[in-house]
Amino acid sequence: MKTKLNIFRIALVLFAIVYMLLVLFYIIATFTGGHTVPREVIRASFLGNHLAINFYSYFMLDVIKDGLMIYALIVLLKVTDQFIKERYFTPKIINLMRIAGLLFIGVAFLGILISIFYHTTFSEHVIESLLLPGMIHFMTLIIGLGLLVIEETYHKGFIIKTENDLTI
Amino acid sequence: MRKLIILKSLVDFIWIVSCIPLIGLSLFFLVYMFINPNSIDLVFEGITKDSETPNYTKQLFGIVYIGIGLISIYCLFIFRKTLRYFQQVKPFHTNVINNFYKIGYLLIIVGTAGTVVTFISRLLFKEEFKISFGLTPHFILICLGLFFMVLSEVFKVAKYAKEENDLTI
Repeated sequence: MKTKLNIFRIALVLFAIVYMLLVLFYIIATFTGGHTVPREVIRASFLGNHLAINFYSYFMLDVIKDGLMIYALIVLLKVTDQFIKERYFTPKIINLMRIAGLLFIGVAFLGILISIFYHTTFSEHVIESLLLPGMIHFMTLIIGLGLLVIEETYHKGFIIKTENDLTI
Repeated sequence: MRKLIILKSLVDFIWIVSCIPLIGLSLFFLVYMFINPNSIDLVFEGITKDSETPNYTKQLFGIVYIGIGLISIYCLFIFRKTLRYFQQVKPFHTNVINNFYKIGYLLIIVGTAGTVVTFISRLLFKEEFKISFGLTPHFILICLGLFFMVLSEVFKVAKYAKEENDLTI
Protein backbone atom coordinates (compact mmCIF):
# COMPACT_ATOMS: atom_id res chain seq x y z
CA MET A 1 0.00 0.00 0.00
CA LYS A 2 2.72 2.47 1.06
CA THR A 3 4.83 1.74 -2.02
CA LYS A 4 1.91 2.25 -4.40
CA LEU A 5 0.96 5.45 -2.59
CA ASN A 6 4.50 6.77 -2.77
CA ILE A 7 4.77 5.94 -6.49
CA PHE A 8 1.40 7.61 -7.05
CA ARG A 9 2.53 10.66 -5.10
CA ILE A 10 5.76 10.95 -7.12
CA ALA A 11 3.81 10.57 -10.39
CA LEU A 12 1.30 13.21 -9.27
CA VAL A 13 4.04 15.66 -8.23
CA LEU A 14 5.83 15.14 -11.57
CA PHE A 15 2.56 15.59 -13.43
CA ALA A 16 1.75 18.84 -11.58
CA ILE A 17 5.26 20.26 -12.05
CA VAL A 18 5.37 19.41 -15.78
CA TYR A 19 1.87 20.86 -16.24
CA MET A 20 2.86 24.08 -14.44
CA LEU A 21 6.03 24.42 -16.53
CA LEU A 22 4.08 23.83 -19.74
CA VAL A 23 1.50 26.47 -18.80
CA LEU A 24 4.31 28.90 -17.99
CA PHE A 25 5.98 28.14 -21.31
CA TYR A 26 2.64 28.59 -23.08
CA ILE A 27 2.12 32.02 -21.49
CA ILE A 28 5.67 33.15 -22.33
CA ALA A 29 5.42 31.81 -25.91
CA THR A 30 2.13 33.62 -26.44
CA PHE A 31 3.30 36.98 -25.11
CA THR A 32 6.53 36.81 -27.09
CA GLY A 33 4.66 36.20 -30.35
CA GLY A 34 4.88 32.44 -30.26
CA HIS A 35 3.25 30.01 -32.64
CA THR A 36 0.05 29.72 -30.62
CA VAL A 37 -1.46 32.91 -32.11
CA PRO A 38 -3.50 32.03 -35.24
CA ARG A 39 -3.01 34.10 -38.40
CA GLU A 40 -6.62 35.03 -39.04
CA VAL A 41 -10.18 34.75 -37.75
CA ILE A 42 -12.01 32.21 -39.90
CA ARG A 43 -15.48 32.96 -38.52
CA ALA A 44 -16.56 35.95 -36.47
CA SER A 45 -17.46 34.99 -32.90
CA PHE A 46 -19.83 36.79 -30.49
CA LEU A 47 -16.85 39.04 -29.72
CA GLY A 48 -16.61 40.20 -33.34
CA ASN A 49 -13.89 39.46 -35.89
CA HIS A 50 -10.96 41.18 -34.24
CA LEU A 51 -8.05 38.70 -34.05
CA ALA A 52 -6.47 39.98 -30.83
CA ILE A 53 -9.75 40.23 -28.87
CA ASN A 54 -10.83 36.74 -29.88
CA PHE A 55 -7.46 35.14 -29.31
CA TYR A 56 -6.68 36.78 -25.97
CA SER A 57 -10.19 36.04 -24.66
CA TYR A 58 -9.57 32.38 -25.52
CA PHE A 59 -6.08 32.56 -24.04
CA MET A 60 -7.28 34.03 -20.73
CA LEU A 61 -10.00 31.39 -20.36
CA ASP A 62 -7.50 28.67 -21.23
CA VAL A 63 -5.04 29.87 -18.58
CA ILE A 64 -7.88 29.96 -16.00
CA LYS A 65 -8.76 26.37 -16.97
CA ASP A 66 -5.12 25.30 -16.59
CA GLY A 67 -4.96 27.05 -13.22
CA LEU A 68 -8.03 25.11 -12.07
CA MET A 69 -6.45 21.87 -13.31
CA ILE A 70 -3.25 22.55 -11.35
CA TYR A 71 -5.31 23.32 -8.24
CA ALA A 72 -7.23 20.04 -8.73
CA LEU A 73 -3.91 18.16 -8.91
CA ILE A 74 -2.72 19.87 -5.71
CA VAL A 75 -5.97 18.86 -3.96
CA LEU A 76 -5.44 15.25 -5.11
CA LEU A 77 -1.91 15.48 -3.75
CA LYS A 78 -3.35 16.55 -0.36
CA VAL A 79 -5.68 13.51 -0.46
CA THR A 80 -2.66 11.27 -1.13
CA ASP A 81 -0.81 12.83 1.80
CA GLN A 82 -3.76 11.99 4.06
CA PHE A 83 -3.70 8.38 2.77
CA ILE A 84 0.04 8.16 3.49
CA LYS A 85 -0.70 9.23 7.08
CA GLU A 86 -3.22 6.33 7.16
CA ARG A 87 -6.19 8.66 7.56
CA TYR A 88 -8.71 7.14 5.20
CA PHE A 89 -12.16 8.15 6.39
CA THR A 90 -12.01 11.67 7.74
CA PRO A 91 -14.22 14.68 6.98
CA LYS A 92 -11.13 16.40 5.55
CA ILE A 93 -10.63 13.71 2.89
CA ILE A 94 -14.33 13.79 1.99
CA ASN A 95 -14.13 17.56 1.59
CA LEU A 96 -10.94 17.39 -0.48
CA MET A 97 -12.43 14.68 -2.72
CA ARG A 98 -15.51 16.83 -3.31
CA ILE A 99 -13.38 19.86 -4.18
CA ALA A 100 -11.20 17.78 -6.55
CA GLY A 101 -14.28 16.28 -8.22
CA LEU A 102 -15.94 19.66 -8.69
CA LEU A 103 -12.71 21.13 -10.02
CA PHE A 104 -12.32 18.33 -12.58
CA ILE A 105 -15.93 18.82 -13.69
CA GLY A 106 -15.34 22.59 -13.93
CA VAL A 107 -12.19 22.00 -15.99
CA ALA A 108 -14.10 19.63 -18.29
CA PHE A 109 -17.00 22.03 -18.93
CA LEU A 110 -14.70 25.03 -19.33
CA GLY A 111 -12.50 22.98 -21.65
CA ILE A 112 -15.45 21.98 -23.83
CA LEU A 113 -16.67 25.61 -24.06
CA ILE A 114 -13.17 26.93 -24.79
CA SER A 115 -12.59 24.29 -27.49
CA ILE A 116 -15.90 25.13 -29.17
CA PHE A 117 -15.10 28.86 -29.02
CA TYR A 118 -11.55 28.36 -30.38
CA HIS A 119 -12.36 25.94 -33.18
CA THR A 120 -15.48 27.74 -34.41
CA THR A 121 -13.43 30.95 -34.58
CA PHE A 122 -10.01 29.83 -35.78
CA SER A 123 -10.26 26.32 -37.29
CA GLU A 124 -11.29 25.54 -40.83
CA HIS A 125 -12.63 22.08 -40.02
CA VAL A 126 -14.61 22.49 -36.80
CA ILE A 127 -15.89 18.95 -36.20
CA GLU A 128 -12.58 17.21 -36.97
CA SER A 129 -10.66 19.64 -34.76
CA LEU A 130 -13.14 19.24 -31.91
CA LEU A 131 -13.02 15.43 -31.79
CA LEU A 132 -9.77 14.91 -29.83
CA PRO A 133 -10.19 17.77 -27.29
CA GLY A 134 -13.81 16.68 -26.87
CA MET A 135 -12.73 13.15 -25.96
CA ILE A 136 -10.12 14.43 -23.50
CA HIS A 137 -12.63 16.75 -21.79
CA PHE A 138 -15.16 13.92 -21.70
CA MET A 139 -12.60 11.77 -19.88
CA THR A 140 -11.92 14.63 -17.43
CA LEU A 141 -15.66 14.87 -16.80
CA ILE A 142 -15.80 11.13 -16.07
CA ILE A 143 -12.84 11.43 -13.66
CA GLY A 144 -14.59 14.33 -11.87
CA LEU A 145 -17.89 12.49 -11.57
CA GLY A 146 -16.01 9.35 -10.46
CA LEU A 147 -14.35 11.35 -7.68
CA LEU A 148 -17.74 12.68 -6.55
CA VAL A 149 -19.18 9.13 -6.47
CA ILE A 150 -16.15 7.95 -4.46
CA GLU A 151 -16.61 10.94 -2.14
CA GLU A 152 -20.18 9.76 -1.43
CA THR A 153 -18.87 6.25 -0.73
CA TYR A 154 -16.24 7.70 1.58
CA HIS A 155 -18.99 9.51 3.41
CA LYS A 156 -20.64 6.13 4.01
CA GLY A 157 -17.29 4.69 5.10
CA PHE A 158 -16.84 7.59 7.50
CA ILE A 159 -20.26 6.93 9.10
CA ILE A 160 -19.42 3.21 9.51
CA LYS A 161 -16.03 4.06 10.99
CA THR A 162 -17.52 6.56 13.46
CA GLU A 163 -20.11 3.99 14.54
CA ASN A 164 -17.36 1.39 14.86
CA ASP A 165 -15.16 3.66 16.96
CA LEU A 166 -18.06 4.49 19.28
CA THR A 167 -18.88 0.79 19.89
CA ILE A 168 -17.28 -0.63 23.04
CA MET B 1 -26.92 9.27 -6.17
CA ARG B 2 -27.71 11.70 -8.98
CA LYS B 3 -23.99 11.96 -9.69
CA LEU B 4 -23.80 8.20 -10.02
CA ILE B 5 -26.65 8.19 -12.54
CA ILE B 6 -24.92 10.90 -14.60
CA LEU B 7 -21.61 9.01 -14.44
CA LYS B 8 -23.23 5.72 -15.43
CA SER B 9 -25.06 7.37 -18.32
CA LEU B 10 -21.83 8.97 -19.57
CA VAL B 11 -19.89 5.70 -19.34
CA ASP B 12 -22.74 3.86 -21.07
CA PHE B 13 -22.77 6.51 -23.80
CA ILE B 14 -19.03 6.11 -24.42
CA TRP B 15 -19.38 2.34 -24.31
CA ILE B 16 -22.16 2.25 -26.90
CA VAL B 17 -20.94 5.04 -29.18
CA SER B 18 -17.22 4.32 -29.27
CA CYS B 19 -16.22 1.05 -27.59
CA ILE B 20 -18.62 -1.41 -29.24
CA PRO B 21 -17.87 -0.13 -32.79
CA LEU B 22 -14.14 -0.05 -31.93
CA ILE B 23 -14.16 -3.72 -30.89
CA GLY B 24 -15.72 -4.68 -34.22
CA LEU B 25 -13.36 -2.46 -36.22
CA SER B 26 -10.29 -3.74 -34.34
CA LEU B 27 -11.20 -7.37 -34.96
CA PHE B 28 -11.90 -6.62 -38.63
CA PHE B 29 -8.59 -4.81 -38.97
CA LEU B 30 -6.75 -7.63 -37.19
CA VAL B 31 -7.68 -9.88 -40.11
CA TYR B 32 -7.57 -7.26 -42.85
CA MET B 33 -3.98 -6.15 -42.17
CA PHE B 34 -2.82 -9.65 -43.11
CA ILE B 35 -4.83 -9.57 -46.35
CA ASN B 36 -3.72 -6.04 -47.29
CA PRO B 37 -0.51 -5.08 -45.39
CA ASN B 38 -0.52 -1.55 -46.87
CA SER B 39 -3.65 -0.75 -44.86
CA ILE B 40 -1.49 -0.45 -41.72
CA ASP B 41 0.03 2.76 -43.10
CA LEU B 42 -3.40 4.36 -43.23
CA VAL B 43 -4.41 3.50 -39.67
CA PHE B 44 -1.28 3.88 -37.54
CA GLU B 45 0.36 7.27 -37.46
CA GLY B 46 3.71 5.96 -36.26
CA ILE B 47 4.10 3.44 -39.07
CA THR B 48 4.92 5.45 -42.19
CA LYS B 49 4.71 4.58 -45.87
CA ASP B 50 8.29 5.60 -46.61
CA SER B 51 9.72 3.05 -44.23
CA GLU B 52 11.47 0.01 -45.70
CA THR B 53 10.60 -2.14 -42.71
CA PRO B 54 9.28 -5.60 -43.66
CA ASN B 55 5.54 -6.17 -43.50
CA TYR B 56 5.65 -8.73 -40.69
CA THR B 57 7.23 -6.13 -38.34
CA LYS B 58 4.47 -3.67 -39.19
CA GLN B 59 1.85 -6.38 -38.64
CA LEU B 60 3.41 -7.27 -35.30
CA PHE B 61 3.18 -3.65 -34.20
CA GLY B 62 -0.36 -3.51 -35.52
CA ILE B 63 -1.29 -6.49 -33.33
CA VAL B 64 0.36 -4.88 -30.28
CA TYR B 65 -1.47 -1.57 -30.87
CA ILE B 66 -4.80 -3.39 -31.24
CA GLY B 67 -4.04 -5.42 -28.10
CA ILE B 68 -3.40 -2.22 -26.11
CA GLY B 69 -6.62 -0.70 -27.46
CA LEU B 70 -8.65 -3.78 -26.55
CA ILE B 71 -7.21 -3.86 -23.01
CA SER B 72 -8.21 -0.18 -22.59
CA ILE B 73 -11.74 -1.03 -23.72
CA TYR B 74 -11.80 -3.95 -21.27
CA CYS B 75 -10.87 -1.50 -18.46
CA LEU B 76 -13.90 0.64 -19.32
CA PHE B 77 -16.05 -2.51 -19.39
CA ILE B 78 -14.90 -3.47 -15.86
CA PHE B 79 -15.47 0.10 -14.66
CA ARG B 80 -18.99 -0.01 -16.09
CA LYS B 81 -19.59 -3.32 -14.33
CA THR B 82 -18.27 -1.89 -11.05
CA LEU B 83 -20.65 1.06 -11.26
CA ARG B 84 -23.55 -1.40 -11.12
CA TYR B 85 -22.43 -2.42 -7.59
CA PHE B 86 -22.51 1.25 -6.59
CA GLN B 87 -26.04 1.47 -7.99
CA GLN B 88 -27.02 -1.58 -5.93
CA VAL B 89 -25.60 0.25 -2.86
CA LYS B 90 -22.83 -2.34 -2.43
CA PRO B 91 -19.75 -0.12 -2.66
CA PHE B 92 -17.61 -2.32 -0.39
CA HIS B 93 -18.32 -5.60 -2.19
CA THR B 94 -15.30 -7.87 -2.80
CA ASN B 95 -15.84 -7.61 -6.56
CA VAL B 96 -15.57 -3.82 -6.41
CA ILE B 97 -12.20 -4.09 -4.65
CA ASN B 98 -10.97 -6.74 -7.09
CA ASN B 99 -12.24 -4.79 -10.09
CA PHE B 100 -10.53 -1.59 -8.96
CA TYR B 101 -7.29 -3.50 -8.51
CA LYS B 102 -7.69 -5.14 -11.92
CA ILE B 103 -8.42 -1.80 -13.63
CA GLY B 104 -5.38 -0.33 -11.85
CA TYR B 105 -2.84 -2.86 -13.02
CA LEU B 106 -4.35 -3.09 -16.52
CA LEU B 107 -4.10 0.71 -16.90
CA ILE B 108 -0.49 0.60 -15.71
CA ILE B 109 0.23 -2.15 -18.27
CA VAL B 110 -1.49 -0.14 -21.04
CA GLY B 111 0.40 3.05 -20.08
CA THR B 112 3.78 1.36 -19.88
CA ALA B 113 3.26 -0.75 -23.00
CA GLY B 114 2.01 2.31 -24.90
CA THR B 115 5.12 4.30 -23.94
CA VAL B 116 7.50 1.48 -24.92
CA VAL B 117 5.71 0.60 -28.19
CA THR B 118 5.46 4.27 -29.26
CA PHE B 119 9.16 4.74 -28.54
CA ILE B 120 10.19 1.60 -30.47
CA SER B 121 7.87 2.30 -33.41
CA ARG B 122 9.26 5.83 -33.73
CA LEU B 123 12.78 4.42 -33.67
CA LEU B 124 12.02 1.66 -36.19
CA PHE B 125 9.70 3.35 -38.64
CA LYS B 126 10.57 7.04 -38.47
CA GLU B 127 14.19 6.64 -37.35
CA GLU B 128 13.58 9.15 -34.57
CA PHE B 129 15.04 8.87 -31.08
CA LYS B 130 12.42 10.76 -29.10
CA ILE B 131 11.65 10.52 -25.38
CA SER B 132 8.73 12.58 -24.06
CA PHE B 133 9.02 13.76 -20.48
CA GLY B 134 5.95 15.94 -20.77
CA LEU B 135 2.26 15.23 -20.46
CA THR B 136 1.59 12.14 -22.52
CA PRO B 137 -1.70 10.20 -22.44
CA HIS B 138 0.30 7.13 -21.39
CA PHE B 139 1.66 8.93 -18.34
CA ILE B 140 -1.87 10.00 -17.38
CA LEU B 141 -3.00 6.37 -17.74
CA ILE B 142 -0.24 5.18 -15.40
CA CYS B 143 -1.29 7.84 -12.82
CA LEU B 144 -4.91 6.76 -13.15
CA GLY B 145 -3.92 3.11 -12.75
CA LEU B 146 -2.03 3.85 -9.55
CA PHE B 147 -5.01 5.84 -8.26
CA PHE B 148 -7.33 2.89 -8.87
CA MET B 149 -4.91 0.57 -7.04
CA VAL B 150 -4.80 2.95 -4.06
CA LEU B 151 -8.61 3.14 -4.11
CA SER B 152 -8.87 -0.65 -4.04
CA GLU B 153 -6.65 -0.74 -0.93
CA VAL B 154 -8.70 1.97 0.81
CA PHE B 155 -11.94 0.18 -0.06
CA LYS B 156 -10.45 -2.98 1.46
CA VAL B 157 -9.95 -1.08 4.74
CA ALA B 158 -13.56 0.16 4.55
CA LYS B 159 -14.78 -3.39 3.91
CA TYR B 160 -13.11 -4.68 7.09
CA ALA B 161 -14.57 -1.78 9.07
CA LYS B 162 -18.01 -2.56 7.67
CA GLU B 163 -17.69 -6.27 8.48
CA GLU B 164 -16.64 -5.44 12.03
CA ASN B 165 -19.58 -3.09 12.31
CA ASP B 166 -22.04 -5.69 11.01
CA LEU B 167 -20.77 -8.28 13.50
CA THR B 168 -21.19 -5.94 16.48
CA ILE B 169 -24.47 -6.39 18.34
